[in-house]
Amino acid sequence: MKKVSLFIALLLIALLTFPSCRKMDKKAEESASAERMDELTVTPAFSWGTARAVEFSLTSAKNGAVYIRNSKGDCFHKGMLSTGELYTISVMIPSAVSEVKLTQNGTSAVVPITGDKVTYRFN
Amino acid sequence: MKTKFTLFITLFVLAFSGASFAITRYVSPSGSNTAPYTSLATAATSIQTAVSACSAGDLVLVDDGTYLLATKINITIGITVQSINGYAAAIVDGNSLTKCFEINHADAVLDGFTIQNGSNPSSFGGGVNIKNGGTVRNCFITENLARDGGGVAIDDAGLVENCIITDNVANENFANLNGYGGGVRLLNGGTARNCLITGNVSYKYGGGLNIWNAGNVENCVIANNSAPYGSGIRTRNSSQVYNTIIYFNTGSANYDLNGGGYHYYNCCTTPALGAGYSTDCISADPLFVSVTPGSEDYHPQAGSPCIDAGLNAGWMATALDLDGNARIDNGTVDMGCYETAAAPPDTDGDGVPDADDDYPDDATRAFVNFYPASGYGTLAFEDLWPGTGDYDFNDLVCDYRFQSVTNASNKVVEIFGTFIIKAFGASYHNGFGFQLPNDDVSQVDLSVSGYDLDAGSYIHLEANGLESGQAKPTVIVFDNAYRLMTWPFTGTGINTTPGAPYVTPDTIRITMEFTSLTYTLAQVAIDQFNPFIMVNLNRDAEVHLPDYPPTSLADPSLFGTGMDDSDPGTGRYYKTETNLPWGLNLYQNFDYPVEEVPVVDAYNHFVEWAESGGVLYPDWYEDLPGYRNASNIY
Repeated sequence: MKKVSLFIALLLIALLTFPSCRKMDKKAEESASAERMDELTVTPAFSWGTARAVEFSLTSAKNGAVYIRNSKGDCFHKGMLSTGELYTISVMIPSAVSEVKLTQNGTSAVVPITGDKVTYRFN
Repeated sequence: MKTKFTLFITLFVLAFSGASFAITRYVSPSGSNTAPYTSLATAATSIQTAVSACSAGDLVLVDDGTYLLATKINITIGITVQSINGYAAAIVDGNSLTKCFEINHADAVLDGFTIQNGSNPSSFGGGVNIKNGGTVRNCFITENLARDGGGVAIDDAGLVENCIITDNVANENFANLNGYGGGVRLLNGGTARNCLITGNVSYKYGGGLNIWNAGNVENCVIANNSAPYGSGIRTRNSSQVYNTIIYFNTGSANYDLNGGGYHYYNCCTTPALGAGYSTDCISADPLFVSVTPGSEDYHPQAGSPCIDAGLNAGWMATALDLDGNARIDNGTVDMGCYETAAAPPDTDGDGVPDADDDYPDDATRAFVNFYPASGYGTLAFEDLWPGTGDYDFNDLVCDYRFQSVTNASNKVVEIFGTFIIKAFGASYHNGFGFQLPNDDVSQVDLSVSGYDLDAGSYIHLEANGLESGQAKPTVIVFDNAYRLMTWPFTGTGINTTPGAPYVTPDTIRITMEFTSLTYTLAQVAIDQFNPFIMVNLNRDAEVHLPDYPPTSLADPSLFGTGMDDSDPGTGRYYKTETNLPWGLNLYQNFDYPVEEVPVVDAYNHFVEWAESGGVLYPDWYEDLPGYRNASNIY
């Protein structure tokens, strides 16, 4: 009886101490979902990213800080935009964001993001 | 009965009081010319026709077009004649036959016309002649000719304001001997205010402006005019000149004086005006933006001595400069017709105004950029690579945010990275690090601190805190999550098993100092960083996000083994044959699945997102109605 108790105690300790983290042994079939990960059809080009890099090429007739924001006011980028100089910056923009607001010296413009490049000039 | 009586009285008073209502009449080249010209359709086809139909107080609106004159337009009552779309669109042309306008009423206003080719070689005013009152404003007055006042002549009283008066000529009867004020002539009174007077010629006195006996000039620029006497201005007797720049005129001195009683206040001209007839005037170069022929720009440059150097007057309180800006900015009016906006405060003098400067008292820093822009992002890994697991993406869940500091030249000064280990549903003892995405940044220009490594760690660092043996700058944030957060002796790992004790997340703050201020954010590209985990204290076992390359210390022989379908030759990394990943980078805080529940069972639109290549439900991870299966999320 003592041996049985000892065995059960050791078994419990083992279960608690080594809680089956070696998932190599898990089978995907354990998923209750009708749409399992291993059933997904995903194109090789899909990056699985939730944001994408957009290159902004900005110029201005005046010196001033430039802001790139979303409609909620979250600022993706700010930097100094100098007269006559091309300012190029790559910014990660959430995939769900389809337009950004560019602001310099109190002048703002909402520009759509239709590709991976945005060009804008402040007058 | 009482109401009827009141109405009768009212009508009686109106009928016999002379009261009338102002009428708006129109002029248009395409009008039907039908009186009373109260619509564009019935508009008069000549300005004089509409003006002649007016009573005092009426408004004449003039449509776009060129109005070629055979005789002058005469305005003798208190009406306003105004273009609809400004001087560039409404052109009155004297056809070199007649002066264009004659105004003779104190309440008459002419507003917004190009006035050109007026001719009055033996008398006063080629473009406009104001007699005994009237106002001309917002006009472009050019290529007119007269004996007095090629552009504008004011007799006794009147105001010309906010006009550009250029390329006019004072030349009596074309004899090339006599002329009084190529641009403007004031006779016994009148005021020229906020005008740019340039490129005019007089064959005798005052290339830009001539004052005969009395008249005021206020806040004008008189430049590039010419005359034998007073190439810019000639002032005779009771002439008062305020806040005016008289410079770069040719043919004689910028100014000429005659008689007595004239005085210049806060003007800029050369040679220096005499002390007896000037107050607070200067002779220094006004520093116009450009005086190059063909590209003249008479705005004062930054640093011009004319900025904030004028004498304030009551009329300025509601007035606008020639650009339409407030006439006074920064407390004191500028000399000339343009007001320069005061430079905003810049306490540290780095060129970034305080309002835009995140470090207004520190000239070495200017901007903070956060990635992600708002709040933390989350990295979520599976750790069984090259084998696959349960896709709960919680074997290591680490929130992150970078704070990049740049200076006024957009060069990176430092980057702070904050990493919060939220959970690890794993038995492996995993570490975490990241690599900059390219080798644009020399490793010797960086110094890293704040990482959390065990004293006898399997990680080896250079003296500057970067990992040794790497081709690109690589930062190891921690070497073993289990060492930083104590397992509560129940559940798989930490903070993934419902019911198991919650363990406070561990926060690590990394500082990356740039010892050379030569790198832009575009070069550092911290928002495109390459994060990875190191599995179970094995430095060569790295797991990265899909299609992110391994570091120099990863074991390349593992590629293509197990379920991995990497192809380093094509840049394909850390994907299965069916293109599944071992890691996700969420742009915002990710509420990860509970232990052993695949992400597809926690997030209802994950499948659509993945199978659409990210097109559908790009916000699948957000807490929106119908997006989540809350019972499967920790």
